[in-house]
Amino acid sequence: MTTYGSADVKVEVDNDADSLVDISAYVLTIGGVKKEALSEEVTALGEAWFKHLATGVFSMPEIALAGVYDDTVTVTPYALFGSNADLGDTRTLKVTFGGTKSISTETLVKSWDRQISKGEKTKYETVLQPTGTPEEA
Amino acid sequence: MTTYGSADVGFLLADGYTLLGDSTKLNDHKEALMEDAGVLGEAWPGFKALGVTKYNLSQKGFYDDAVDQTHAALVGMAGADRVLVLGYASNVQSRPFVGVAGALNISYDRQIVRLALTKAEAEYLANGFVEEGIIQEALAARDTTPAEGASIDGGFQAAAVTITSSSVANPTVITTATDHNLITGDVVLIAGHSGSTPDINGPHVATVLTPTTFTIPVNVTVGGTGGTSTRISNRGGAGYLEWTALALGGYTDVTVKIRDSSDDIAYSDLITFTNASGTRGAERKTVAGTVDRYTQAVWTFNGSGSSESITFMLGLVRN
Repeated sequence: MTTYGSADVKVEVDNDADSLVDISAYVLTIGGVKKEALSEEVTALGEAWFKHLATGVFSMPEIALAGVYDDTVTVTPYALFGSNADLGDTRTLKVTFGGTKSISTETLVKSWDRQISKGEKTKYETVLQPTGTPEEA
Repeated sequence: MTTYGSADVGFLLADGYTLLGDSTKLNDHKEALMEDAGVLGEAWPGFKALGVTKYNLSQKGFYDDAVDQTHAALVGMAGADRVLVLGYASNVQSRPFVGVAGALNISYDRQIVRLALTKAEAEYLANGFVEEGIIQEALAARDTTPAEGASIDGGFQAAAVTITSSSVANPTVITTATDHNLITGDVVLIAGHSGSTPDINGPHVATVLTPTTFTIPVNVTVGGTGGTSTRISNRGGAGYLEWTALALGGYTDVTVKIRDSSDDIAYSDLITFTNASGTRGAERKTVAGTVDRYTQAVWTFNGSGSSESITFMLGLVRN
């Protein structure tokens, strides 16, 4: 059994020069990296148990990255997602879970949030919408 | 690393009302609209951005009906456009701020809970775009003396891009190591470039060819290498004025301006706001063309009087 924890994870995103940059140090939570096979419920008359069929179409739901807001203009999430020009732009997201296994997908920058709460550090949250076929390595 | 906490929030102003004193939570959110563009035959459908974005700011805190506090600001204003500014990184000159020109106050919610203080929530949608700029003058009370603020070196809006080479051509083609993010007509400052004939260091108007190449109107006969190219701010910008208190003391009104200069010596007027005379207010004003490197605020009480004071914040956005 080979398991991994948060200390083994690497989160990379490509910048305007199409180079992957490691933003792991700025990510506190990553909202799940999920793949779904779309199915349709086809329970017919006379069947007591629900029946589903795969449609052959797949999807990846939105992925939310969140952490402490840092406006240093280099490799931080602010530099990659925070400007108005970044919204709707494409970014390659690569998550390495530990060891050699990773998933890489093209995404669109859907949203950018700054969250200010009493007694807390200001946080950011960016939501990326995967688009197209992800690559598993 | 430049991070901030709740204690760093400098101001939240809407039309001259200060909303920060009652707030415990703020969330400013911007979003690009997109649509599932998958078609038949695709196993992994793609999404496309629509090129439309939206912004909203939500505010939570305590219900406060003291004069000039949250209730006074919000109770009668649902559905009205406001000029809103948020200083999330301290109320200090040169720090960043968010400005919203048409902040539509769409909701004001008072929440009564047993055994708890009454709370209030408000939400604003941007009726237009949201901008990020720097604080030209922090929110503070000022009188006639001094009548001008400290100057700010705005530097150059864009980060410097490394130059790979300049070509032997007329006009010469500048190749950059990474995307230069220019549009034709931008003014760039080239520095540290060596070996070219003639020397091309200095400001030039750029004509974009590709994401990593552009031309400048120079006939280069010996190509050079190295150095950097930095975009000079020439796409205009906007100024935000919010004043929260005004005691004219017999004066007629107050004129507030932002001036700019290329050398921090000779200044000229860049943005002149409508004269302020009411107790509180706000205005956003745009400017086209070049915004020089150095900017400074000036304010003048017009007429005559005594014991005058205006409490205001000034912000500048460079496009």
